[in-house]
Amino acid sequence: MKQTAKNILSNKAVSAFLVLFVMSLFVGLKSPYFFTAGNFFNVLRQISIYGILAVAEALVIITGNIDLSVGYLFGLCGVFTAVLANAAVPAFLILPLVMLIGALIGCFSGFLVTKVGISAFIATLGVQNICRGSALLITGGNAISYKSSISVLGAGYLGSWPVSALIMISVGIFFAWVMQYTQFGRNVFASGSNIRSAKLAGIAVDRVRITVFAICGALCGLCGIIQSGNLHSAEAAAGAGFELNAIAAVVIGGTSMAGGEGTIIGVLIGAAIMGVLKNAFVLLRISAYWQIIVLGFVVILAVLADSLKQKRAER
Amino acid sequence: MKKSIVLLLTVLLLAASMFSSCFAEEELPFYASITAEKVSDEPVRLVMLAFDTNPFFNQIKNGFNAVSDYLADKNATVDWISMGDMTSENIIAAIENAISMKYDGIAVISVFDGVETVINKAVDAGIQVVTFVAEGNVPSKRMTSIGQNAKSAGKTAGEAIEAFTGGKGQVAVITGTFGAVQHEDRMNGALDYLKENDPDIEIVGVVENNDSATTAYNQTMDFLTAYPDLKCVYVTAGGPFGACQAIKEMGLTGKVGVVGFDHTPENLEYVYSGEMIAAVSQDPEGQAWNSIMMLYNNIVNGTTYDDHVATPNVVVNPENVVEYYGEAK
Repeated sequence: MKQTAKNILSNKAVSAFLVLFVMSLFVGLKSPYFFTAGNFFNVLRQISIYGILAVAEALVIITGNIDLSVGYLFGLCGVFTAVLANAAVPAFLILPLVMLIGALIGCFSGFLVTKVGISAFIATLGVQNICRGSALLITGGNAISYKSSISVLGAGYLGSWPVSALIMISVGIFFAWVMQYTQFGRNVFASGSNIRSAKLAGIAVDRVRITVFAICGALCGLCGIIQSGNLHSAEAAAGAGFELNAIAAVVIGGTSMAGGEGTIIGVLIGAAIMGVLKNAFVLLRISAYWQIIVLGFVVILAVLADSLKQKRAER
Repeated sequence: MKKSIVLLLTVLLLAASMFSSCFAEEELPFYASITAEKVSDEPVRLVMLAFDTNPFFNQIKNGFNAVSDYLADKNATVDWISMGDMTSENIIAAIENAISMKYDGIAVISVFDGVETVINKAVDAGIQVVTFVAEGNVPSKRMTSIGQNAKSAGKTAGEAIEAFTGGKGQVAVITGTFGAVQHEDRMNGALDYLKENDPDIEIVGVVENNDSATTAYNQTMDFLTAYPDLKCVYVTAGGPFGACQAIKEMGLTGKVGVVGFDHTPENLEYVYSGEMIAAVSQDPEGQAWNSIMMLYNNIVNGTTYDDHVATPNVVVNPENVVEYYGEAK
């Protein structure tokens, strides 16, 4: 019994959920507005972009890489959404087109990392700048407003549920299933834990990694549509700094930065923890300076927990 | 005889038209408060070192385009150099490049402390320098600076908040970046004014949005949830239209107002629709025009200007927006 409890608690996703639960309980006791339906859907909508980006980033991190371009890539995809909408491209075509653009840019990052041999940190940093510069070039620094029914993905509601949150939940469920129950998911984990063994087992590691970068890019495309749809306008700077929040959510959710380990559910819980933290600071009237400090500590604690676990495993 | 009279009249008409065209008033933009005192005998090369990373800088560029067209027939050329991201390293590198390129005058958005050393280097090299929009706190040898007094602009915003709330109620503050001098001054300018004049106004929180409209939208949603009686959101830097969108979506137009800065198209859209109850402008086109004209007149005519020239705080609100910008497009 004691061992079972220990096993459950050692599951990082469960630990992250317990943190989220305790945190929510605390904020709920302190603020009468926290456990209201309005605030629940508000937080859910706010974390939808972080959640999807975190899933995208988690896939890359599980393969043992990192993608620093996700923030500006989704900003660029938002700009493409606005450009296509203003060019009167039908809404049903904008979604696949923008996701395709994101996937192609992701493929390019994957190619640089796997085939050219540039470290993921440097390659995606370069792609980040390319995306940012391209977005500025297209927009000229201006926000581009648009009117298209595609904006329902960012601004729409199904009853009380924000469409963007429903998309995040769907993305989460789909990739949780892919990672748990498909050969591709197993190959992704194998490519991140031990490349040599994976290659010996006949896994085309490079192809898996490029595919993961492409999926990451496509999800950035989806985020771009959601973000620009939310305000019916796209700005070049929209994704600035989002990559760090996405990486933080991945780490808080229990994904190992060393690769080969992590769960999509854990990642979504990580995004929720960050969302609740930000929401709590406003509801509890705590200085935003503290918010920055606390977020820093949370990320350090999450990485510390991961490295302690790895050291224990090595022993 | 008749032919001679016709010829004489034609010559007189031509002379009159040439004479009048020489002295005709050029049609200048409304923000052009400084004009050329004389045409330069020698070619003058000026440069504007600025940024182009958000809509505010496009307004700067509009002023630059106008002044470079205006000076084109006065023996002066004006170049635009974008400095990339707003970092002190980029500004220093851009000024050093301008020194190497031997411009006669530099107008620069200098923003940070530390840039003064390279400004001094330019002045020592015989190049006149005018700073505009913002400069660091450490004095330099620059000729003059032109820009908004951020504290006074904040006070103007505070007055707009006071007018909308009637001097009581809850106000949330969304600032650009904690520690950025201009943002802090705008925030404190408003808060100091409200503290002194409106003790019944309660500041419910201060958060930073890093100039992102999306973040401002999310933060406004949080504030509206936590404080159902919220009356006003004060956005000190970029992205106030995100806060406006949140208010519009919640159906609170007229009940909750946004006070912010700059007359960008995105902000004006919400001034027309009523969510943005005051947009304070720092006259970006005028700053670009006048900084270049100060350099030109100083180089050509030796004219000097005050150490600091403050730009007016022009407030546009739903009542006067048509007067300034015409009907909504």
